[in-house]
Amino acid sequence: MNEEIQESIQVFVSEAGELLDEMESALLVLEEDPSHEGHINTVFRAVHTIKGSAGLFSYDHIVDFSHHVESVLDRVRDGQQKITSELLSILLACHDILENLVQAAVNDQGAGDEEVQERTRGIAGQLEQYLGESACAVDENPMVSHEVLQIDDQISGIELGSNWHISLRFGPDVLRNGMDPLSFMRYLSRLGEVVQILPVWDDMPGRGEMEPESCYLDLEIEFKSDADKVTIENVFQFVKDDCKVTILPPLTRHSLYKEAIEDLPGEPMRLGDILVESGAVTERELKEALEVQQSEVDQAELKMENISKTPIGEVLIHKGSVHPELVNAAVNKQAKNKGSPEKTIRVSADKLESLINLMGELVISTANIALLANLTRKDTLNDALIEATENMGQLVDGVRDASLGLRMVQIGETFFRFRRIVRDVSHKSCKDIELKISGGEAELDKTVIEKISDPLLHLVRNAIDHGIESTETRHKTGKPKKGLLHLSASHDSGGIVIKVSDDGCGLSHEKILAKAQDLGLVKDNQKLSDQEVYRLIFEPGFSTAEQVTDLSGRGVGMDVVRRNIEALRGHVDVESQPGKGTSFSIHLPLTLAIIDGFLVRVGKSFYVIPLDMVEECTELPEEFQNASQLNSYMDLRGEVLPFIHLAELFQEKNVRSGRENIVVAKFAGQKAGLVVDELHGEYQTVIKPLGKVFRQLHGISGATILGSGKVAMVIDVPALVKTAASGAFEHGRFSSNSEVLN
Amino acid sequence: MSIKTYARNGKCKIKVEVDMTIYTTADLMPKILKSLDKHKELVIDLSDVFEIDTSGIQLLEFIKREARRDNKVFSMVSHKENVLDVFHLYRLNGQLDAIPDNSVSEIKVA
Repeated sequence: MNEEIQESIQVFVSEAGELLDEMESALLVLEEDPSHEGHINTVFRAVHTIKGSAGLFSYDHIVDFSHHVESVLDRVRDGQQKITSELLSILLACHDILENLVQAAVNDQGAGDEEVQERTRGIAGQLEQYLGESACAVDENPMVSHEVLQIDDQISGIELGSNWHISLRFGPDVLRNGMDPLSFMRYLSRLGEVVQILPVWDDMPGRGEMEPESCYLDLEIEFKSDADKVTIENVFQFVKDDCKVTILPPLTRHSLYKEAIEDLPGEPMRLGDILVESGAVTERELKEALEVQQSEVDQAELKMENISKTPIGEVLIHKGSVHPELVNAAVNKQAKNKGSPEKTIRVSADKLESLINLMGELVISTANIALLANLTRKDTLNDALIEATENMGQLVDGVRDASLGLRMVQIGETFFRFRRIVRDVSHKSCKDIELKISGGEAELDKTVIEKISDPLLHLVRNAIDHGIESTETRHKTGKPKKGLLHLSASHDSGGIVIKVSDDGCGLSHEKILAKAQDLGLVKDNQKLSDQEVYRLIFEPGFSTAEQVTDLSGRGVGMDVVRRNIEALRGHVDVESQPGKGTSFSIHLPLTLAIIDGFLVRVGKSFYVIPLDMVEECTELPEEFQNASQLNSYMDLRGEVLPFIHLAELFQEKNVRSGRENIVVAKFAGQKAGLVVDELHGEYQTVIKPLGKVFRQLHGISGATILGSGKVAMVIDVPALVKTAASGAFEHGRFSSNSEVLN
Repeated sequence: MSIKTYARNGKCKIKVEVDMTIYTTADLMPKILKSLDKHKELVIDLSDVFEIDTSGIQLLEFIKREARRDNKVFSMVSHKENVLDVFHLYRLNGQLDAIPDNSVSEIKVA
């Protein structure tokens, strides 16, 4: 296969992936609230587009299958088929199959393996049923079919589709104002052939109120003409104040309008303008629709209600000015214009990666230049040089932020993917669970997001399987029947906190402790706090689930979760209240590559503390100066502050020059002091990961290269804060216990 | 007089002698209704109507409805070309009975 095709197939796959994501989330929204009918169009568009592009590559299986799905969706859009929960389930299954088929097609497996083929056939069968069933559904409703028949009678013998349909609703004063509908019709017949006129006198009152000079006439006209919409509308110009004119173009015109819509320039336009420009809607119709839209909003404001505007397309359809099909075409056109290449570019992740790497090098060499410039400060010549380097430093900062921003992705997308999982897993385990998502707009480095997805999935599954009780148990214990799973993201000192909380049964202190003793993690006589016990679940091989289900409970997992998160320089924490629920918080750094650091000297070495975690710097109180104790507590304005001597911790030869300083660092609500020899201030830090040999080092999360070419260690503040706060140091080493707990 | 009314055996024929337009319909309506109330069958003779407009058509439609509501027989006869044109425009040809009713002899009612 030549390269170009290979490349376009890649585009097809990623596009199909995005469309399928859209389809899935639209379906899930519909499942929650079937009244969001607009979403069915999203689903339709997704399927339709996939079908189209699959056709280009002759992926016939995809084309066939999506065609089936499309037909069913068509019926839904026409209102022939209601949106039911079964239908949504089937459509979700269709989504999965399309996903499989796309995968199979790309891997040159045709229709996929046996299993996929089997499922495809099954679902296709179910879809056919929908096509058949709904046809009967119309018959069951005699009222509707009767009406349909009547209309058919009235316009029988007319070539439906090639005629304009004009509805005239005359106001009562038309005749008195000296106008006669007759004259309009005579004029109209000059523009084309009046195929059929149906006078309707529905508004004509009984004898008591009848006024022969008032007009009670409405006219339905079938009109055959090549004139355009505006010309036809102008026929009724003189009565426009006294008459409601609705002109529906012939169906045969739709393709013309569609073409016109397609041919419009590719710049972003408002929907109404697109429709007017293409001739499908006249200025007058648009103006009226906009007035309707505004008046709805005004009324809602009067009632102090907060409503969202009805989309202009819907208003126009409702008024009968335009066929839904054309609005769809216009919406598509609009979306296409919005998503035109000027707005987004697909860039391969490798290119970004190398950009970030270069950026890191640039930051380092900028620091180097700044350092050199400062070293030669005494030369009067160099004032200009210093100014120039500062300028460049600012620019480099800007470029750094911008290029890091390129990799930032909202976490919401990852969260939304869980909706499907929550739905499926809760169905499987017969639990009723609501997923609440908040803070989805928080941004994280794409690589972080990719790597956090699996641990998150595990926590979510655990919460559903072990956390939230079955419906009956919940009922018995007086909890709401519906379990709540809350995924949230929020910013917290320099990082992001992702929380997975449930309102389930909580963790059991006794069970975990017993299991830990079984495994020999805890000695029988050891006293542990709740918090310490809960953290035991992150130990390898730990599962207290009495039943191993296919969802979770095999005892691999929580330790992997912890390891994955720590590999991202993150931390996971658990809180639990028996009977009330469990909450996991994952603290993650925003990005892996470059941070603002705070440079300090300890002994002969330099260390970098992530600036976002630095609360304040202060002098170490007199009584602690020159003490060689590893850790202790001090009084910080009435607060107990545990602190660690970094020199002792990292066994630096003390080169004391003057008084020691203490850097107060904060992480996840806990504070700890780090005693250092010298403060060097803010420093741009490009984090280089440590080699495998040094991975196990406690208290160090990476290294960086200083402008002078020296290496500085990046301090793992979360780990130090935790250990300092728990006071878990013993004789200059971490106790074995604390190693277990961390 | 804008109309002449002939009646016999519960049948009644009304000959409209003016144009049926916005200028005359208000005057015509009560007169025609009066005759309709008195008789079981009503024929409207349009032979002297040279011009009719939407208001006139509307009045005829109204009378037809009133007649139908009271289960009375209603028909119209002897349209002039002009009137027929308008009927045609409104596609009312089928609704108007163009057959002259000879069974009603011309008896003048005071």
